[in-house]
Amino acid sequence: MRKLWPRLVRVQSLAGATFGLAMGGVVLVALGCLVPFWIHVDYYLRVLVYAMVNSVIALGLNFAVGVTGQINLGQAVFVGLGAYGSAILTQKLSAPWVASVGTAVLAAGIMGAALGWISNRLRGPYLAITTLAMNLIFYLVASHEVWLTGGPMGIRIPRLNVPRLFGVELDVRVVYYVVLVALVALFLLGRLIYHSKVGRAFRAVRDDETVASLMGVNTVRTKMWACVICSFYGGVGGVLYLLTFRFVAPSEFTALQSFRYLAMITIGGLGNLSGSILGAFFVTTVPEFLRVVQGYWDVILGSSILLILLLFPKGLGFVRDYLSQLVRKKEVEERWTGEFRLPRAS
Amino acid sequence: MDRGIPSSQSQLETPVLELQGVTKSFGGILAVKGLDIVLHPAEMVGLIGPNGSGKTVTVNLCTGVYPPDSGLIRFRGVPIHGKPPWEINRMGLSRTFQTIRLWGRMTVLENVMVGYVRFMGSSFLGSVVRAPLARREEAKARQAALDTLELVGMAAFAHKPAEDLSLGQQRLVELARALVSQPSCVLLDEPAAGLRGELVLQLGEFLRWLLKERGTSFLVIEHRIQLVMQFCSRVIVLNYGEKIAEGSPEQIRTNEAVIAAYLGRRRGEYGRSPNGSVLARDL
Repeated sequence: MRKLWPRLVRVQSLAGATFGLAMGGVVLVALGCLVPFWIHVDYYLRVLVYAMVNSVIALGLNFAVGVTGQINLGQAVFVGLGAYGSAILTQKLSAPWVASVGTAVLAAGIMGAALGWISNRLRGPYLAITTLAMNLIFYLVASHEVWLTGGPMGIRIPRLNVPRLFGVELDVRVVYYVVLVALVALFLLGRLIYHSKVGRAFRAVRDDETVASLMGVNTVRTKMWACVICSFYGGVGGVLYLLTFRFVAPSEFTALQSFRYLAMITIGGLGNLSGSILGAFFVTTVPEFLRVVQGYWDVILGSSILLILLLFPKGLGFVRDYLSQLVRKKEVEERWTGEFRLPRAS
Repeated sequence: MDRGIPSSQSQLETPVLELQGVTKSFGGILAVKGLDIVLHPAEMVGLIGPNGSGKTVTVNLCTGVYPPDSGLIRFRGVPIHGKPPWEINRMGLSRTFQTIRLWGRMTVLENVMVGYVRFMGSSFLGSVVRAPLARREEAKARQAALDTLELVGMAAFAHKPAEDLSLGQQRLVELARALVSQPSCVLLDEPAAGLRGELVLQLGEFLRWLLKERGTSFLVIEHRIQLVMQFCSRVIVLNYGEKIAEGSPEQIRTNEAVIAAYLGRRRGEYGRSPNGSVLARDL
């Protein structure tokens, strides 16, 4: 026990968080663990799980778009590959669940590498259109290749075939904890990436790609990694999606869904990892609250997105930045004398 | 006046940077024409010329922003034309920019640490999971960045976003980013623009100190003629992409072709340039 504490502190500093923020995160996760005890309607719990699944997907997308500056209008493709991959492998080929998940995520990762290859040849609007086209192709394949994907009816996983976790049946409450653990782990992984050498290279490429390459950053490899991370998170999100709903259909992986993911990271703040989670929760849960107003919820959601971006151009992630400023120790600012300080010895 | 190692001595060694007959045109406009430049170890050379004479294009060609149409560029004897920019940088050829180009949303320290990437060989996974090698490299990069920031007097700003600094301060951070990996040659594109008067002289002293201590070579593009004349051992003058003169500052001061290039502009032949007239007055 005595050794555990320094280790925890080390993890916190490696993830680039101040002590106060790390504690805040721990409290949030603890609260998250308690939620299933006071929400008794499975439906509401499922909405929360869906929001967490979307958070994972948005985190990945944020790495490509917000952190590295490579626009991607086809994140739903990677989610679809993850979900369809694990569904097809377990249902049609009756592969073991763990192996199918691994293969599905790998497939998404390979597709991400392909996107990385493309992003090294196309920029800006051209890359955007290409990723959009990728999404349209995926939708067509998913809805027409009935022998493989089940067509528009999709693939439903019977209750019996859902894997058991430590002998416990995966009902929504158990899935909630699985997804929560995955989200926390992937968020921490994201922070580790963000504050590493690779993360710095990502941000350098975003702010000025030419200068990054001139300062020794291998921009080709950097963009490749950004797309692989994006697709990896998307693939994992797809697997979690299947676990949550036990059903996949092409209508879930349209270009419109990709734009929703884009809305999540924009509302949360581009390049802001905690903001991605806030944005995903906002875009996922608000329409559920607005079900009472029927056909108007699109309008309300759209205008609230506009309002958020007008009021907080840097996204909802500003909450975290504000909090981190509150808990940070006040630095005594040294007055700039504007002098070169050569060592006296010379 | 002390101007580093005398050129006769340094000519015995392999040149740090060597351009032979380098030509580059953009859509029919010849930006650089048959340019020959030799830069020896531990030498500070000034590159001057009126606006649009091809100075920045020369720096871009050397660092691999675009390849030359023809000609040879060698760095420490190795041909580098056609190599991607990061490979050239990792060989030890660094640069700064005429218009400041820091990564605005990263902190000053992070900006400088990226410049150290040349010495960071850890893999993607290693650096993400903080493997021992990656951790050592990270610590080294951090220390090198802080040391370099201390040298240029910007260590107090290490944790500020780069975009929050004044232009002069950003100029110094950019210098630190170029120097952090201890390159053997640095191409400085107007390093003194935006610096206060006293700081320009300090900058000159600083560069001379680096030259003596680390044997770094500098190619300095500068419109503040004082810096060039006082600190460079050799000056190269470009006009319309061609070298029109090369020699010691004294020789350049009295060179007829140089005076014509600058004064010709003053008469309004090609339009008046404030930079050109400053030089003409100083000459």
